[in-house]
Amino acid sequence: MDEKKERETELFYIGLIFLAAGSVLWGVYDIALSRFMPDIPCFFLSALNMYCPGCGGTRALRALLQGNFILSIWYHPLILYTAVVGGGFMVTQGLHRIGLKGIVGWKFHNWYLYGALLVVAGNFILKNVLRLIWGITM
Amino acid sequence: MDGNYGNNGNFGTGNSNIPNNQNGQGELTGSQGSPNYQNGQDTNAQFGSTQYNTAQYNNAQYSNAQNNNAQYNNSQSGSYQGYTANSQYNNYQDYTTGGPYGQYQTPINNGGYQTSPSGVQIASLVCGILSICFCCCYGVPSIILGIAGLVCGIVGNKQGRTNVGTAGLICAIVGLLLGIASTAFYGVTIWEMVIEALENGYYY
Repeated sequence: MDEKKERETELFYIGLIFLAAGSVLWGVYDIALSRFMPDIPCFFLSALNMYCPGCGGTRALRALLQGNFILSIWYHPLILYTAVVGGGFMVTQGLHRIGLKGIVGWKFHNWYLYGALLVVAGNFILKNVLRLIWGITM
Repeated sequence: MDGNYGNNGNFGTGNSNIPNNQNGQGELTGSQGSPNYQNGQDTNAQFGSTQYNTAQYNNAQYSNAQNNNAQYNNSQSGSYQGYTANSQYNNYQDYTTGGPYGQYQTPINNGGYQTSPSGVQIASLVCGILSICFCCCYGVPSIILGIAGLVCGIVGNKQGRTNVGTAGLICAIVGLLLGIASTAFYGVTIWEMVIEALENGYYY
């Protein structure tokens, strides 16, 4: 049990680092870079005529930040999945560590990660099937 | 040594591991009090028969007390050829009290794999997934995350292999390869754009 608590503490602090780094990168990209970056087509689309596994991620994040959950799922379900699972873990663990009574931090389970892999793989296959067979694009 | 079986009911004599079965009654066959075993005297012809008095049973292996002690009664030998109940249980006790079967512990390594991943292995899988997803973001984030995932995976798997660690390693390698391919693609594309801009005079 102590080993698991230590691991959850490690994951909490790693999650904080990821959150901070991700926020900074998103801010830099959204505010500055996106205006100046050249319009280069996606590597996967150009080379293989397929959507890449991360295609739609930035649009999904933007939609989620605007409160449009359905659109966020359509663009890329991993963003909402991460927000729910990862966000839930971070929030409950953070509140638990602050000392808020009645809040028990979510425990880490391996299926969090396997689920993420499944979501990425499933989205990749579904989007490309829809695009290649029925011509439905994002 | 005829009468091993009959005299004291023990195959091994003088061994402290065996309870002193003075009467030799019933321990072997559960027939304590049986007329066959009265006073340690085996009156049953079957047991006094040649079958049991043959060299097989009278040779040094069976008659030598030392050998009996070693072979039948020595709990360390693990032999359960000794047919006294006590030696049987002595041998059995070895398996239940001191050996690997006696002190059963939940194995950490199950066929070489641990049951729960460490934080580094989890970070490896997370970096691997992100590396795959970011492969189209000009390739560089994918390479950085791929290398991070690879390093975490190697370090984590040295501590103990898990499915998460292995999956993290695989995802990191795939992401790294996609990142390298993507970076090369974008590098070539950007270079061609620069050349075209220079040729067309789009420079300041």
